Amino acid sequence: MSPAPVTPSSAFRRMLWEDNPVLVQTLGICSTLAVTNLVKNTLIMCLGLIFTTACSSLVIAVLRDRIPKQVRMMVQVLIIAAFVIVIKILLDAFLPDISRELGPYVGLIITNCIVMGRTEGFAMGNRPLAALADGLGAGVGYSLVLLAIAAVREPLGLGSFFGVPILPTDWTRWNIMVIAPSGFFALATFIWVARLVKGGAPRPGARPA
Amino acid sequence: MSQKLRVVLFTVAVTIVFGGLVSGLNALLADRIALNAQAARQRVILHLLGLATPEAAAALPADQAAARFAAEVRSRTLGPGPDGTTAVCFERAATTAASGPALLVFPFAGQGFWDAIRGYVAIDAGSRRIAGIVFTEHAETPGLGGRISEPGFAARFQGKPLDQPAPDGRRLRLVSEGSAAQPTEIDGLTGASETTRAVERIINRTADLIIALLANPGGPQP
Repeated sequence: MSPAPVTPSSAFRRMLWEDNPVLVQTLGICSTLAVTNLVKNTLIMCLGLIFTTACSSLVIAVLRDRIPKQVRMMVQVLIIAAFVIVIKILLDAFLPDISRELGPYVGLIITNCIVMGRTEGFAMGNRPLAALADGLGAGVGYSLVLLAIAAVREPLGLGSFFGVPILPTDWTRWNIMVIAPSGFFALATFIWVARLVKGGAPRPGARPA
Repeated sequence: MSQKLRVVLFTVAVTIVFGGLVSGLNALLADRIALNAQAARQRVILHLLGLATPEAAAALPADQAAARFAAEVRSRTLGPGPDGTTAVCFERAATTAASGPALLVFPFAGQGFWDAIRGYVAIDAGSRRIAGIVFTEHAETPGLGGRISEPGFAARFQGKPLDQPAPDGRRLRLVSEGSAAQPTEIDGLTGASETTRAVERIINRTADLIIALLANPGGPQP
């Protein structure tokens, strides 16, 4: 007897916390380090990733029974790349200032492991609506973590939030907070706290203290 | 149908559909994207020529920026210089010989830390000093080298002379942040040494060209 199909609501909710792509699966780390020093850039990047993950998961799930196994990953990359280029064109046309600020980051959504991870790991084996919800959930789950990290890095590193100064003008900027290593530290701290909160069984092979 | 043929046909079909989607959208919005890029350049030049404040220039819709640019700015080709180089610059359309030394805006470009840095610099042709500078494109590290696009960094170039080269040939020196003491020294960016060096290199190369061309302007050309 085959397992019951995943419902869209459970697919969405699972990605927010239980299977959060950043905190649990540790995917999408490159962009987590790269863009989280500015909240505005993080937000735009997150919206782009939500759009890409949701659309590519939906399309892959619709085509899943027709995609030949030999070329499935190539097809997935092609579809993901198409949606990312669509985002880039729309930003260039309607939000040119933000497009200039984000520079190469939007294009890098193509290489974000979360997008391909959800298409290959979920959309290829599930119904379109569930895949759409899973893609949306993965994007939103990723965004919540990134925005939380950015909300710490930008004030400490630049004294501002969303570009608006919020700390005194004599605030000494923590330069390390705007470069990639602090992204590692912040992310590691968030993962540590999340796992403390989640509790649960220790990792297989972990030695007791 | 053989399996191999099916794989090939499916791949070709998906490529055509999604390639077509992207190409179609690009074709649909190409004019708007080109207009945005052109308007961004025109706003910067209007601001550097003192025809609009930075805020007013940034707030100009693309069509108004184009209209004001056409009415108030004209391009001019300088040169050829000693090595045969020419350069296109921009000046106020109302500039005449009687109105005094011209403010000229030159584009510049060069390799930054991660990618090309581009922008525009305004030079007072009479005093050979920088009247303003804007870094319009770069891919420097946000928050570090990326600070070159902040108005505060651009303000550090204001009034700097280009006609007092040091013995090593550098007309301007970018030094540690907070240590600029000489007229030809400019505070660099802490935590962005490579970007600072790149900016110094680009600005000095541009300044060499500008000074050479101003010495032999070749007269205005339509």
